[in-house]
Amino acid sequence: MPGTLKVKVVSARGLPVMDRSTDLTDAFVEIKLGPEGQKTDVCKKSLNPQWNSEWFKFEVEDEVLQDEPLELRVLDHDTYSAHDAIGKVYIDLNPLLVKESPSIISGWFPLYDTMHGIRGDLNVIVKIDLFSDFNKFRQSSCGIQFFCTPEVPAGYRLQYVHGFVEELVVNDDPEYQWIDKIRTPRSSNEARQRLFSKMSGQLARKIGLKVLEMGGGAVIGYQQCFDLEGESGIVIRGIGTAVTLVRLRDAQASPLGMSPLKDYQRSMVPALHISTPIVMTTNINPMHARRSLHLTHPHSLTPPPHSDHNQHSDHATPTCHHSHYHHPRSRSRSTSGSDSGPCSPIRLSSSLGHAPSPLTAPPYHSHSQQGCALSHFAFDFPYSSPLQEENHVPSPPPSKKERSTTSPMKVAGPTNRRSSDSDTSTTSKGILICADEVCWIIGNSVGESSGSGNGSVSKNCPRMCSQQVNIELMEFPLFTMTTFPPGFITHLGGVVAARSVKLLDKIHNPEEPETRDAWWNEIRTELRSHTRAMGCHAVIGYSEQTSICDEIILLSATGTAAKVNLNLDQNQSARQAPSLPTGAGDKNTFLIDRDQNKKLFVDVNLANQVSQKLGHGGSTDDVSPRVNCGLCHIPYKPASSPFPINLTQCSSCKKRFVPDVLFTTINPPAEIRTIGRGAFIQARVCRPKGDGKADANAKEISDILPFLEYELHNQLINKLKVRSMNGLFKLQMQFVVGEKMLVAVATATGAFLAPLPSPPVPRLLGQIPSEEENVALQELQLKIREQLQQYKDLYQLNTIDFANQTCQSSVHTDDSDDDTSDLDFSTGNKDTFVLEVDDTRDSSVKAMLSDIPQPAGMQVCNTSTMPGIPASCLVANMQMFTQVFRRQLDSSQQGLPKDFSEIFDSVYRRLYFKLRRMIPCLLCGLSFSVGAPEEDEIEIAVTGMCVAIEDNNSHNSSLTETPMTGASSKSLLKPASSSVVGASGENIDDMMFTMEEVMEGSAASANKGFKLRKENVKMKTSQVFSHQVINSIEITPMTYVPGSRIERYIGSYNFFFIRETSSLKEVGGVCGFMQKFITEVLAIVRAHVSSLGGNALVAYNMTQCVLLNNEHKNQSQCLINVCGDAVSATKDGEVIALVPEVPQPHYRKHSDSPSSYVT
Amino acid sequence: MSYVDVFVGNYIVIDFELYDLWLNGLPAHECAVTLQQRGVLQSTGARFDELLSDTKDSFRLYASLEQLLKCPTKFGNQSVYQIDPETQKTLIDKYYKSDDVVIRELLGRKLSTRNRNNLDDVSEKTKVPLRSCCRQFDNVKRVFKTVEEMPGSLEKNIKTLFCLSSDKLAKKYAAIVFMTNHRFETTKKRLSHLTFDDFMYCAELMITNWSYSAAECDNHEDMDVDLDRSFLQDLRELKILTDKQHLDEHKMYVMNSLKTSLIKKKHSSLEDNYKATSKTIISLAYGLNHSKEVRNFFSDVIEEVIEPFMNTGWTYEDMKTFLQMYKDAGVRLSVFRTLPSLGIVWERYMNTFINCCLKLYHT
Repeated sequence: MPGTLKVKVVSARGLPVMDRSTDLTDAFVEIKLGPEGQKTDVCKKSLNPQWNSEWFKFEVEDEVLQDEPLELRVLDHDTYSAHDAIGKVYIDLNPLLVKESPSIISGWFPLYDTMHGIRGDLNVIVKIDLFSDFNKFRQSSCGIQFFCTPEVPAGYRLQYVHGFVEELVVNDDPEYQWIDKIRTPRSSNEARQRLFSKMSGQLARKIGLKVLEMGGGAVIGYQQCFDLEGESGIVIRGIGTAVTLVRLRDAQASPLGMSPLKDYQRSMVPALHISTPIVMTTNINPMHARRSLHLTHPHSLTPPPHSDHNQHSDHATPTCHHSHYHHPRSRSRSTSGSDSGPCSPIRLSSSLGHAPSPLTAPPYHSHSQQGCALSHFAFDFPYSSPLQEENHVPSPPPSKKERSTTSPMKVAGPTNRRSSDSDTSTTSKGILICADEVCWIIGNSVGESSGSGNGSVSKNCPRMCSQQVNIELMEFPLFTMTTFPPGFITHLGGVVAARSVKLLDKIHNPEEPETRDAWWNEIRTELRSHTRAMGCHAVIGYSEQTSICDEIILLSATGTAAKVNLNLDQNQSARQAPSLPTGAGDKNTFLIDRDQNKKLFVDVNLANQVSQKLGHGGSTDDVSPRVNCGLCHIPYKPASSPFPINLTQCSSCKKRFVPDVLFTTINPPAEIRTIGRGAFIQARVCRPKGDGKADANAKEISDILPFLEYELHNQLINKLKVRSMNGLFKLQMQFVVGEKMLVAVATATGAFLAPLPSPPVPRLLGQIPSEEENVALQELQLKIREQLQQYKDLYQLNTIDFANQTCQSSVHTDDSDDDTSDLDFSTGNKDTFVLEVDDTRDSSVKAMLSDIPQPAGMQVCNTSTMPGIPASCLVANMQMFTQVFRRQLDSSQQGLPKDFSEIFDSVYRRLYFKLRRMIPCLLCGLSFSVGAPEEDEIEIAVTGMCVAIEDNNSHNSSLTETPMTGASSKSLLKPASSSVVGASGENIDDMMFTMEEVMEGSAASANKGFKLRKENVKMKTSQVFSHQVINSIEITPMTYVPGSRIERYIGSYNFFFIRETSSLKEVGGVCGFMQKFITEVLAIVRAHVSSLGGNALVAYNMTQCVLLNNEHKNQSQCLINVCGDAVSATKDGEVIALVPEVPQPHYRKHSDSPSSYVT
Repeated sequence: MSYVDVFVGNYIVIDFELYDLWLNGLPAHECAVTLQQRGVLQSTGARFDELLSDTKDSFRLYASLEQLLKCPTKFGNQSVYQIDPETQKTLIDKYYKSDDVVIRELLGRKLSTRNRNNLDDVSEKTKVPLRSCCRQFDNVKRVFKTVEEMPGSLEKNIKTLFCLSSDKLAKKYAAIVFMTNHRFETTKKRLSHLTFDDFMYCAELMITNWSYSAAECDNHEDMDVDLDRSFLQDLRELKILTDKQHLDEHKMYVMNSLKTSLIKKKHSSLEDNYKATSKTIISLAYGLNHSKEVRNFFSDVIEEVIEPFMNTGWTYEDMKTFLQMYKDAGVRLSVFRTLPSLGIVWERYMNTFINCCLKLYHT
């Protein structure tokens, strides 16, 4: 899809003084896309220049659009010497290439200079005109949407999961090229930024191609990692899950279900005329065949027909027409299948030419399938909604249709009798079909084939079959998502991980980075084999990580082994009892291994298998109908168990077996019922290592790794037990190789899972050499008991009848289950959790007890929602924070562990202290990134979100629902406001202005300053956010914005920032430098979000933060990579503030703020 | 020990307790100690380490915000910091808040770098930390430099250019700018008992009545930093009142009307001094044409008008009555009947003069 990019440079503001003599600046702008560059006039002597330039046009291939960012560079004109750089703006054009996203990017972008930071802003408008290109050999993948969000994005329904996609791109690091010796730090940094940006564009494009090939339309849970390998180059890796999404529509959406305006703003259709007629005609038939197919299937498969049609037409936004022609299988099928239309020879030959051979498509695809489709069509048509029929009206409605008549679709219409219904989407949308539809078909086609094989076309059967086939075809798919639609997961196995230590070598051929590919393939294969060993067929919550130190690279892959059900019809899955017949077995939760296939299996089940009554005890509070204990049941037969394992009867259903602890890398699924509140649990280990070279070093590391893992795991278990919990969610493990040490940190959120047995009381056991020791041991035991009780109170676990469990014997549990009867589960009286202690100063016990308690009223978790705190209690985002902490370690053998945990304690203390005024609040999405930048240094970067919680102690849903329903009744008014806020273009500016006035007026009367507002929660939520509502941009690591509804996703943002300074002291030392830099990064992110018409960035992640510091030279350099999804969200309160209810907040505010406060 | 320790949020959240301490110019460590003494740590259970880290962090933030605070209009044009309007307002207002005692010391000084370096004595005298004195000095200087040459209302200019939300603060700066512009002498020993408030009151009156923004002035284009030139020209005409015949006529009116309200002793003493007093008042008026005499306005008023009356034990009330009578009697003079325009000038001058005098009349 080549296109014309149009750029208008409006003005700049707040430029720095570049000419000392006049205290002014003669600025002009260079606009570059790829190799092509243009520039504006010089605007003399102004710090706020107005160019108001004409539209600069760039006619480029879509490949360029995908790969290259638009680069705007502001310079100070200098007649005699070189122009001085002021700053740059990079604009990622990908959001413009995706349907449903804005067709315009417009706003103030901070001018960023790698040496000086932000220096003023530049106001730019960027538009794009795309037109279709039917070149089959193209390398672009426009239209594939990328979501960093590791779950099905709000407002979408998951139609199909196509599986794991990965890609890596390799390049030389400009920092290590010879030229770096002679160029300025600025140009070196800029070269790097440009390269990083280009590489990530390439990466996304390549992944997009793979997605297209798989038949998907979007990537969710997209993770991108930079491996800065130093001398050997840069590797950018991307992983994600290819899916097909369907947009959900509210009942009140426009009848045709398509977003009006937005799509028409793009002048795409006229451009179509440019493409050669031959190509067009060749497309007629396949299009139709497919289109009709996809329209018929929804009827046959999903009960409510209109909604599907709406979704479809909605999706048929004109973006990637060509995507159809990409997939060889789909093409061959359609050409052969569509016997009704005139297939031109060119068309045929071209398709043959591109598809390696027509035989790649299963033969039965063609006619039988078409047959099916026909029958479906006939069958379904009566169901179709009146809307559908309206579209039969032969005379096309004015303008839009007129345009589309020129399209090949319309021309082809008469030749195909199904064209009429296919036009539900196309008539008003033009001719382009989105990628979603393509994958729909392809996804379906598999089902079709098996369906037709069965000879049955019953409504659900083919689908089921297709899924069954699919999961097997996928061969242990890896899913990068962490939250799944209900019904997706059927069984959770446990955490699987694979690690490997490698020596970096020079990448000789960047085009074919075989070694890196091979490494990852190796690891993934290993992970898959673990998954199989656990009786699972998929890995969910999958992630990959590296740690590089000199020439050593440590690769790790982590995920949760699971059985999944790819049949994603949500209505159906709700009905379905998702327990597969595989039945009971045994299980292990934690499977550890390291490189070179030396596996180390750690049996986690050190504890009892006592069943408990808890299921009944706790079930009084809200049990959602979706609750399903099946997820916790062991996923495979005990006979095939490779590990000795303790199992217990499931406390909920009493039928199947569950492990006594369950570790996962995913967010708590809605189906699993938890009791009490969640707890933030972190285990950390640091071990010194020698400073060997190369091979010796690698060997040493791989020898230490298993011990690290073991210790880490032990700590997790201990910390879990002392909190009386039995499940871990969102377990994130990070292994870091330092020069003289190895660090491992595991972060997770613990919870009490109702189906699992309640954990036993930890008891200390040790060789007691002396009486003294014995006393100490007793004391320790006492301490543990105290701690246990404290935690029980804290996490509200007192409801669990722990006493009850002991009197219940575990022996009788299994008899109900027939196929497991031969196994003996009565592994003895393990009703206590025994801790072996060698001496009373044992660090593991200490670690268990020494966690810094969070202040009262503050909850902490690393998941996106806290188990035990209903989402309705989360009122609003208060603050997204980034904390960077670096400290020297006492690297001596004795000092190390103590110092190490001290560092973490400091981080927590600081965090808690900093956020003390936000209480009551929940810190969620807490993410730790640990580094060992220097020999004896540890760096910790923490990001997270502080969310205000409604302080109702009973956190009973009834209480919190009252305000919510109140809000939702007002939500009828929402569309009005959302259109105002969400729309892009000039008119919002006016609107914003007026709204701001309203808001400020009300806020001004209310706000009595910081302290008051912080002290009062009610005020806090009504005020702090009232004035932030309008033009503030939210950045959050979560996938949602509390108190708001995500209206649409506008595009993912991913950028690599480099900042350097050679005057470190002057900018306030390294702390000042870092603080400024992070602030600037956030500012730039916000600017980009707002320029796209969004007001929040969700799934924010700071994937990289590398600080290189040389205080002696007064220099510092820092690299930060951030990513996230720009969205437009509507606040629930926004409506209230704008429409007639305005008085309400006013009253409240007045009562809160008598003027006496002021005076 | 820990050499990178930063915390950055998406929103700028200001702890105003800390901000106040920062404005006072306390170094981070001392500030943390102060907070510790106030019991911040007791309520949170944190250690001094965290408090110090938080303080340093905040101070770094304030230091970078200071660039904006120096030119608050930039707040509207920046995207680096996400600050809600309320916080922004408070930040600015607090930054521009000044201590009257410090300003009193700064009045009459040249806003030169040399004087800035000599603020130690000000700090010592006022017990305000040096850093805070410097900030106030810089604020005054910045405001002065910005509005000095600007047409239009002084107060309004200051208010909009520095985004001040309170009129009081803007008025204060307007007065300071006015005083500084005319380089009024305020440092003399005999003026040392006067507070900033006294001067501000007088300056405000002068701005509203004697400058270009006065109601009587028909040429509003010029700046109200300066006195209305045509008014000053007209004041010369008042010299006529020092002619013997007018002086006597005026005296007669005044003395007659004061007979009842003054005790005999005071009345007779006034009778003796009347000529000198009246001449002084009128010479002050036409003296306003010379910048040197403008500069000495306050000391002249104190020395030549107020002190003689003080010495004879006149109360504030006496003074008030006298000046009022003096003005009213003037209107009845025959000269004004022939020159009605002069009457307006007389009123315009006397009204402000009386109020200033009374303000400065500390008993």
